[in-house]
Amino acid sequence: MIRILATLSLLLSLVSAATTLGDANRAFADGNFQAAAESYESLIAEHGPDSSLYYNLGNARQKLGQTGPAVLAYERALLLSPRDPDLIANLALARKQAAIFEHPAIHPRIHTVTRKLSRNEWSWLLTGSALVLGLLSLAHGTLPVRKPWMRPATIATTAVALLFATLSTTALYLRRDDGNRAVVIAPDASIRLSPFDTAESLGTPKPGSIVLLGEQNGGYRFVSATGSTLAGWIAGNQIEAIEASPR
Amino acid sequence: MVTIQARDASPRGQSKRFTAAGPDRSPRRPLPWLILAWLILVVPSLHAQITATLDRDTVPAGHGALLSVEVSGKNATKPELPHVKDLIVQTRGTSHAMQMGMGGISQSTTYSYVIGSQTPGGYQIPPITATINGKKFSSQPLHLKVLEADQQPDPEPEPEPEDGCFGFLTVELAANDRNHVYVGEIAPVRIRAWLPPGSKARLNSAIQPEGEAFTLHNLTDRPTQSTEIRDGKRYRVVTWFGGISATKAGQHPASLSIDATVAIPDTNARNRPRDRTGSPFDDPFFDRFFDNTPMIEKQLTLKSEDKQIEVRPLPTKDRPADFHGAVGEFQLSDIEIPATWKTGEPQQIHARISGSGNFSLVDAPSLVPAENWKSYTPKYTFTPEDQASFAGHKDFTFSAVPLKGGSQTATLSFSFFDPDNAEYRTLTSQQNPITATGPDIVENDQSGEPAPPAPEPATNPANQLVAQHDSHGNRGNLVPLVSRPAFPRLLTLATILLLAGPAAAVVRRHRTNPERLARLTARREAENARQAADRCAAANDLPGFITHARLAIQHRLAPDWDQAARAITTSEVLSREPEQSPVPRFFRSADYYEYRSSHETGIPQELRHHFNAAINHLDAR
Repeated sequence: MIRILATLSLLLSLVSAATTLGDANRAFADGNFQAAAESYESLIAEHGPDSSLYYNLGNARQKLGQTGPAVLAYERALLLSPRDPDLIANLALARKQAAIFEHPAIHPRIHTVTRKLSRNEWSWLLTGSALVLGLLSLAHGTLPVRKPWMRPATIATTAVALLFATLSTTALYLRRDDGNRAVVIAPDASIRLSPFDTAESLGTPKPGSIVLLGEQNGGYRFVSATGSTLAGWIAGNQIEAIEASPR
Repeated sequence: MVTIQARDASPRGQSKRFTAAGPDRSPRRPLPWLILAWLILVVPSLHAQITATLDRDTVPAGHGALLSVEVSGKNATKPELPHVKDLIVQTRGTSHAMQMGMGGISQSTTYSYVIGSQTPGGYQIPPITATINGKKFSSQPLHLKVLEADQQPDPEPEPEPEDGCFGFLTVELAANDRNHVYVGEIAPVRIRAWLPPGSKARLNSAIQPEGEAFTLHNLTDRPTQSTEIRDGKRYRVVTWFGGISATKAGQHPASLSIDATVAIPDTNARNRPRDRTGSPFDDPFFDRFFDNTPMIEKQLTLKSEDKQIEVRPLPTKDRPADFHGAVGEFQLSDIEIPATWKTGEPQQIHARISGSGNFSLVDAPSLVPAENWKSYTPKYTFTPEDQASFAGHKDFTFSAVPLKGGSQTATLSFSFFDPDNAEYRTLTSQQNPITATGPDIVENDQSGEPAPPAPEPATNPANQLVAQHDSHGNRGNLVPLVSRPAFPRLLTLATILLLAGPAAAVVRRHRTNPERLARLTARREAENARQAADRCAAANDLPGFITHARLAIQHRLAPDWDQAARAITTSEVLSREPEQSPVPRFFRSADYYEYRSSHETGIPQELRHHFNAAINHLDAR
């Protein structure tokens, strides 16, 4: 009996301790942004990446005045929901309030088109198109054309798959540096001439700025600031990559 | 320069308009367009020039002076620095600037170099050249004097830094005859940060209104830079455009502030050895890379003057029921209402509201008479006509359902508050005759309650975060497929499938080849006939042996001759096969023994020999 009661109480405590999205949102609504942010982070650790959790985490960090972590959370949410208007608006607002300006390396219209889908979606589109083309090729090689509608249908499907494959390949090529994007999260980050603490500082990127990651040397990463000629070494704990590393 | 202009916005009164983007874009007034085009096309080319300046003309040996080469104009190449013997030149960086002037936009690039020498003496730097828009431009020549290493140049009298020397902020409201504004009304403003020349600045916050009475809208993302003289002093001016609106009535100070870190050259430290550490101000838009100039840095809040503005509430008297907070000067146009309808079935209605004012609160025009219609949430696109989004037009598209059948009229109505005349105005389109078929529809949610009161303008809508999400969103992996090991595997699989298709086609074509199939059948038939001939031979059945042996050879010849096996005759074999071939020999022997079969008691050895030779000959072919 005691054992059953102990098990029940343990289960009850686990249930009550488990944070839910509603709890975190209530903390946010009550103005307890730090607790809300911690709750969102624990939910992400528990359930895995979720665009709404990252979005809400970004809002909480933004309310706390932590621009770097806020932009990082928004950028990660964008990986999962690239067309969420709320997310796009809040990320733009965070950047605007921190006076951070994005510098697209390509034409703005092309930049807009390539951002319509996430890199994950573009790569799935490319893979799907390539597999469809492969299956069509195999079907063409093995199956006889028996119905008159099969030939135009095959041609149309091939054309669409080729178009998608071309589009997605182009988008992935233009966004080939996205995997190296990182956000400056430390308020006192400094880009240095060499990978040492005592090296000359070349510049202090603002928290929330985007940098492109290069090689690693000890605890330092070589980075280049987007939209400027600033490049140098930055301490690894002052930045965080937006995309996770493949295992 | 940025213009502050007044124009007649309606025949009923005067409306003041502050356009940040230059001349009015109204299609009815082509002259401003021509002026704008002239400014865009001609002014940049007029500004094409190259200037070179040294921050000092005397340096000790081993020290450097800063050489700034400013190239203005479009399509400019990097300046070519002439080689001067013993003069050391180090590149320090570049900075870009865009300036608004005369209504046009000019751009310039400043290339910074540190020049010096280890050899004392006078150095003449020839004109520096650059190609701008296809033409070659040259700067004036410069002279640098390099002293002995232990000799310091004569100190120049420098003024001490004064209070306020780090800069200040000004806010200019639109030219306005009124000394009051209304709640919700947007006043276009030009906000300018005046910074000392040679200074570096980093913005630590967005521009914010002081207090809670005013909010700032549609602030330009990219401020412009220019150099201007004020009270006899030269300043670097950073300019933003936006709209300011009041959120509550009363007498309130309308001032703005921005947190910034400003560094100005330390004029008293010119004789000290150069500090070679880099600049902490990395913003490419603001920096000018005065990396080796000692600076005095200060974190401060640039604040504009406290100017009291009277904010009046919107009058409640004569407020139209369909007023939703629009304040300004608007017109209703481009209305498209279908002529034929069916009750209960929605169709789309288009309308445009243009003018100037708080477009964020401009809602879609409503259908009149309201009891005959049910309208759905509109979609809209807003096209600003100035940088502050004060003027422009909003195109609405919304679905509506007629609730009553029969011939009737449909009218669009839009109400707004005219601040210049301090009155509500309602714009009404012309009456559009329409026909709706079908029975009348009774709406359950029509409670007959009066229209809700007009809402007060939203507080600071532009600077609010969009609300939290209440449900889980898209789940996935933060590693996109393209970065995962599965990606090349899937593409390899697709490539294999792609190549397997043609290979499979080749195999299929080979397997279904009719010629090949006919040959296989003939070979099979020939084998059957040969086996039958063997059986006849074992039974000493000469006629049977001859028949099946001949048939076996006929089946072997049939695919090559492209005819039926049994149609091949002896005379045809004799004519088509060579004389020395064993095939005609067999056929002749077969004919011979066929006639003598009644006299023979077994299979003649000669006949069997000819048959085997013929079969072997055909197998070898």
